[in-house]
Amino acid sequence: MADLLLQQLLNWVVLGSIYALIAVGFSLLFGVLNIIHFSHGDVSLVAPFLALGAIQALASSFPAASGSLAVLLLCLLLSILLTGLLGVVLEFLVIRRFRNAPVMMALVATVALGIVLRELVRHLFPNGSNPHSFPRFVGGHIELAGVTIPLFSLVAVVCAVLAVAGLFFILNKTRLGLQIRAVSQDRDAARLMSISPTRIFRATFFVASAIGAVGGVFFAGYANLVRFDFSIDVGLIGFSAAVVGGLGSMPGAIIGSLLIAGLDTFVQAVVPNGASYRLVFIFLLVIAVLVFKPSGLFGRTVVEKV
Amino acid sequence: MTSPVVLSGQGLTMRFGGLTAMAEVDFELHRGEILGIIGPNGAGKSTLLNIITGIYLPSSGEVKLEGEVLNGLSPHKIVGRGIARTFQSSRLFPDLSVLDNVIIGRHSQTKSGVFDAIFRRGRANRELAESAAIAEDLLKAVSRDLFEQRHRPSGELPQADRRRLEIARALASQPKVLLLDEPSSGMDDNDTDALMDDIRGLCAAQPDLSLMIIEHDMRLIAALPQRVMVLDYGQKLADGPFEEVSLIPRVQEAYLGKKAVQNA
Amino acid sequence: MSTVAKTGAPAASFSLTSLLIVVACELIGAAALREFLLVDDWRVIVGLLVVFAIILVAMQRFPAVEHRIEDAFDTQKPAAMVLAIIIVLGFPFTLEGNTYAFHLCVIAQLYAVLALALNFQLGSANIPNFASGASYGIGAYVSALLALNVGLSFWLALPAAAIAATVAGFLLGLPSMRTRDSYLALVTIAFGVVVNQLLNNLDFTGGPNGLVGIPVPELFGHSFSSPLVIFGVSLPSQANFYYLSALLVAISILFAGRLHNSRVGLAWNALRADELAARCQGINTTWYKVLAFAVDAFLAGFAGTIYAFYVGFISPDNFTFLTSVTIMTMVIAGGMDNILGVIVGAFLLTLLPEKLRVFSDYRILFFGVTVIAFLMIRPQGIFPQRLRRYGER
Repeated sequence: MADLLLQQLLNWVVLGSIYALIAVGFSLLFGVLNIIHFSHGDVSLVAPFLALGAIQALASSFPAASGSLAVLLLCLLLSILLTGLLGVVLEFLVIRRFRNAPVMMALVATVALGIVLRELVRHLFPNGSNPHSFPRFVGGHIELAGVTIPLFSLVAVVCAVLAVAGLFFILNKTRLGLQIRAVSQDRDAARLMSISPTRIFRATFFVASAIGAVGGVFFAGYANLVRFDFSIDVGLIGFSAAVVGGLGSMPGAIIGSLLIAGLDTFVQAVVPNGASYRLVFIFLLVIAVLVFKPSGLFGRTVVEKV
Repeated sequence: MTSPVVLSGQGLTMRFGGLTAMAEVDFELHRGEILGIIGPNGAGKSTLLNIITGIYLPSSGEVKLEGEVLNGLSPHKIVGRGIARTFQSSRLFPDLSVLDNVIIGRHSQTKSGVFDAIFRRGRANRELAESAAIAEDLLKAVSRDLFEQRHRPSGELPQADRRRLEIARALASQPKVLLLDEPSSGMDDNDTDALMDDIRGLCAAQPDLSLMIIEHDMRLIAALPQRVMVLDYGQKLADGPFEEVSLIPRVQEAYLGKKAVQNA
Repeated sequence: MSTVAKTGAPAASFSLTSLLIVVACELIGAAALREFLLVDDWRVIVGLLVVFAIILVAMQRFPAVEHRIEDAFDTQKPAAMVLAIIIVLGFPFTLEGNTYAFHLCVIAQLYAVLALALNFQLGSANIPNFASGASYGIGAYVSALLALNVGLSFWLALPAAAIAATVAGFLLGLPSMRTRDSYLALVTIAFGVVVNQLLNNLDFTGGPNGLVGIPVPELFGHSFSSPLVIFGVSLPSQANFYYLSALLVAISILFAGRLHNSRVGLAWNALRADELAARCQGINTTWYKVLAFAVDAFLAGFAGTIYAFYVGFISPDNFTFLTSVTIMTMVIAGGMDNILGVIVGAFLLTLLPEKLRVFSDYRILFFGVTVIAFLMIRPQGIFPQRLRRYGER
């Protein structure tokens, strides 16, 4: 019994960490650009495909080296970096045009962008419509306080914590972070301080997409599987977590993710036929939170100057 | 003043978390009177207006319109009771025409809903046409020029015209009390003179209309209101004719600083 | 801006040119639509699209042309309407019995209704609603369930389903009272997902397989599944639904126009422009927001019912998040708060993916790219919002 409980707790923490990696990106992008970058989930889930592609490419060129952990990690790292760059490219090609557009328009544009990304993955990746197996890149178990914990879960949580801590560090302790916060508070004033908003947007997109990529890669590893349309679910849930926590608030995104992951795990474990109903519960939670706290749990309630 | 009190506030206090924006302010507005409200920035002038119009719920105190308590009523209901206002930053509806802006001001005086719009077309149309006619008259009364431009999107108007439009829109609800929030902000002397003429004309045309004007422009304050109320740090410092109030040391201190007054 | 002389010959020639412009536009539009529907060769289709794009770009460059056409339609409104009605009524006769073309018309018209319905919220009041697909689905399912389980006829199920959808619209509108913008968008997304998932999992809704065997409507003994014979010409059975959905489109246009040019429409526009200022003009913004949801749901419920009885089977896959996004795109790309624009947007976005089947697999990709391109090139939509006029010009 205690084993089962512990197992579920573990699931909760791992899932929460993965969602948090994506949610944090949503919140960061909203905080800085004031738009909902709906395709963030889709960008994040390009990473596992890039990783698979890299692994397969290496496997055909250097069959001896493939399969080693180092190569695997290298491919993952590469995919994360490339995804970060993808974010920047998207900003340059598409998002840039909607910086000052009405909210609704930017929203629909990013939704369409997400569709395009998914379809591109489906077409460009060999056999894209089918699910592909994704390695749980850290295997094995570890004994901790008498409990057997898969190493993967531990690494996932640790990486998530590191990534978020890294983000906090960048935002609060570096010059870049200061500039990012300046631009998110008042774009024009920042411009007057010779901060180039364009540069900041690109940097933010890189960071957000890279962190999201970490989430994407771990999600694929967790599920042992990746398919081009996973991003719809993951994106929606990550978005929900960010909104529930309060768009623009990093701590909020994390708490929102934990809340949703908790409910997700609980429903799947306890409710009969829970797996089919998990989305219902999650989104009912979202509605409930927003009814009582219309700007999310920690959202900055914009005070209008009247 | 011998005319009856139309709007009054007792003990109005407004706290935002730890900050007290307004502390125990009382005021009275008589029918047909113009009351000026002055005070340094952050003194709580706009807060007072927001409390009266229901945008803020006061932490304590009461606002009464002709004896009826207004506290807790939502802004749209307060408009229906007879209080209209303008905003410091002229919040018009920029993508709608000048005429549409004023017609929207008639919302509290009209009734047609969804059913009327769809099924009782004649009635809805008549009401709308009537509102349009009243709106046009209001525009003509305010400025012939503005009337000529009534089909332009209001976002294209220059500042002085925006203010006039805002006043016309506020008057469309046939208010008993009109609150003007820094009407001359963003205007030069010529525009301000024109504004003052407009307000004088308005008061002549509607002697029962009571006005509260928040202002920084002392020429306007000296010329128009019969009485002036001074706020500073959320408290009322003084209340009376401008000539008297401007001589009070505390008031001078609030504007010029203690040292300046001591050295004067 | 045009100047209309009150008397004399210049006015007459202006009127005549206007009439010609109106007739030309409508006939060309109808002919192009017919070509688009009947032709199979994808090159012709792409060609038509290119022509359309060129026209749009031309209108961007030469706004005077656009204004002239708008003025023409304004001054010749009765003629425009009569001609439009004649074209709509007669259109089926020109389709050479092509059942696929008929099918596309029916679907496009249903989406036009959905887009017009969403326009109240999105176009007039700028309230995001990602759950319009859900209202559509509720209408379809309620009517289908009533027909299958209780034996209600189509004509009775129709109002019942519309009312059910409206109630659901109110239920969605209530939490909308306090949320704004992105948060409101998420509430509507959440609602849409919940409805979709419930439809997918509950037994009595048939689960993922949905409901089948929805009976065909009948009117005065004439079954909608039998061909329609008018003036001796036999039209395929789809024509029945063509006229039914055309009627619904007409009703929607009526609703849309009347609401837009009313106190309600003005209130929605005010709350779109500046919610606080709107409240300070006496507008109960909460009520008007909820109203927008309810009106949208009402019309969407109607459309859903017709869809269910037309196709005969429905499943949760017909009413997804993507459906809602498509409808939103129709409104935004067509032109917010512009009735004609919204209808054209609906037709375009329904017919395009269907007609480009030759690209089959690349359809969705093409759809996404088109949407983005559209939003970048002509953000105000095909036919942007127009200012109201009262009485004289």
